[in-house]
Amino acid sequence: MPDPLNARIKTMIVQTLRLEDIDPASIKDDEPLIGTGLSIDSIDALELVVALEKEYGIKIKSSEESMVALSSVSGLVAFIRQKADPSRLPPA
Amino acid sequence: MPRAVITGIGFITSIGNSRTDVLRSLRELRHGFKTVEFLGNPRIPVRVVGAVEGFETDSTNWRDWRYPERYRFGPEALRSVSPHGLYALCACEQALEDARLGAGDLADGETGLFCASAGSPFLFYHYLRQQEEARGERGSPMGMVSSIAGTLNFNLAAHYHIRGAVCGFVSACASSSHALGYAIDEIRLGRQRRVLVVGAEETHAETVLPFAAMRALSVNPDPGSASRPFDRRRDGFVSSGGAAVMVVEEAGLAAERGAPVYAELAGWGQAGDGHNVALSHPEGSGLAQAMRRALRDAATPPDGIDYVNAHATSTPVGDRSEAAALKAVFCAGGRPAISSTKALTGHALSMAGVLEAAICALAVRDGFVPGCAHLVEPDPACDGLRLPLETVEARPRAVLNNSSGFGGSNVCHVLKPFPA
Repeated sequence: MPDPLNARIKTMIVQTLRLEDIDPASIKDDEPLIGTGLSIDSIDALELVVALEKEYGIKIKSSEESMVALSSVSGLVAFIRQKADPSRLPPA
Repeated sequence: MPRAVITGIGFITSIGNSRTDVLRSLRELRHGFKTVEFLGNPRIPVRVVGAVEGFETDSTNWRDWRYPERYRFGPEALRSVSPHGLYALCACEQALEDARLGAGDLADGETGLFCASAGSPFLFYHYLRQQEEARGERGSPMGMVSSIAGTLNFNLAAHYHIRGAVCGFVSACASSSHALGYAIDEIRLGRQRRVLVVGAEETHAETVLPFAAMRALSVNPDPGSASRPFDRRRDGFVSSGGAAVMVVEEAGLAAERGAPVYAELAGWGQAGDGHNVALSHPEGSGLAQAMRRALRDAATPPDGIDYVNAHATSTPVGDRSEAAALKAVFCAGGRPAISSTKALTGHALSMAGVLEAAICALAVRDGFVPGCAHLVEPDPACDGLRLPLETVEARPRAVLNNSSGFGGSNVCHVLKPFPA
């Protein structure tokens, strides 16, 4: 069964960055998010960070931490599960 | 002394997004107003605005914006601009094409960039709110450069790789007139051979409604009569936005390039009212002095001026003050045709000066004088002034363009056919 947090994050990426031509489900779990097929750069990444912090009440403290968090969708899911209050997460 | 001429113009305005459309609107006195409801609140009495067509910029996210397909800008250009920055990019593209210049020609170090806008209160408010929600711990990296006053020069200088003089001007509704005046000086002093002069504004509620708080805006709901400069029943101005761009060049450079010239910027002048933070001097003393200085700079007597593009915004106090100033300057000689094209365009705030100078350039090149649209019953304060109701098809020998801003800042330019 697909992970609802994984699906929600892919949808957030598409909605926040207005990637209108991209089906959220087509984003690969382990592909680097920045600098690859999605054409996300470091400034887009900061916008994504703002949106993720708001949605999950987390704090991504530094650009180094943000690079780790945004390494891939899988990396992001793991980061959010580790940092967020469980009550803000969809049930796995 | 080097002479400054106009070789390119770009318009994104309420009366058209091309020179052809603007020219037609001016000649036929077609206004660019429509009815709006600000903030979805029907109780706001200001109902008319001069908005640009063909753009959708209501979102705070640049990725949502829509603009005419003939222009294409990448994320690098759009992510750090505000809506009026997008209008300005489009108007710059028009002006460069008109002047037969490529974007690469602007990186020669001989080209400067002078801009004017109020910034984007719309985006500024959004970013401040975002920062407040994050309790100051997070903000958009582009929040500052896309929204504060100066956003136009920051972005356009980077986009076009300008290596000459780069500056923004802030004198409210005289801002782009100052930009144009100092561009003339820059050319005359031999510091630059070309200056791009840009004015742009937005018509989002955040820009417009503060003027309602000053009771400066018309509450007439009829787009066909809300803006009626010099009319006895005028009740305030109609806000407008868009972008106007002018390529100003040293006449010798224009000749070397074989670039067609609209008009010469023959002189300019400025003077303060020394009177009030927001209201014009009752006798228009600063504006009269600015007109005299511009005429002297252009070595043109009052009776050499055939047309005045008045600042008149359609406010009771401002128009009366300008009428007094015009009478003071032209009483001794000359009776130029006078109109305020804000009856058609609305008042484009910081952008008004360069927009109206561009309109004057069209009048000089194409040989016409726009009439006083929507003027039915002239204010008695205008007795003795020549206010033609219809467009006059005749080439003016010289025209005067007036602008005034908060604090009693008055700027005037004289334009003449070139070669004379």
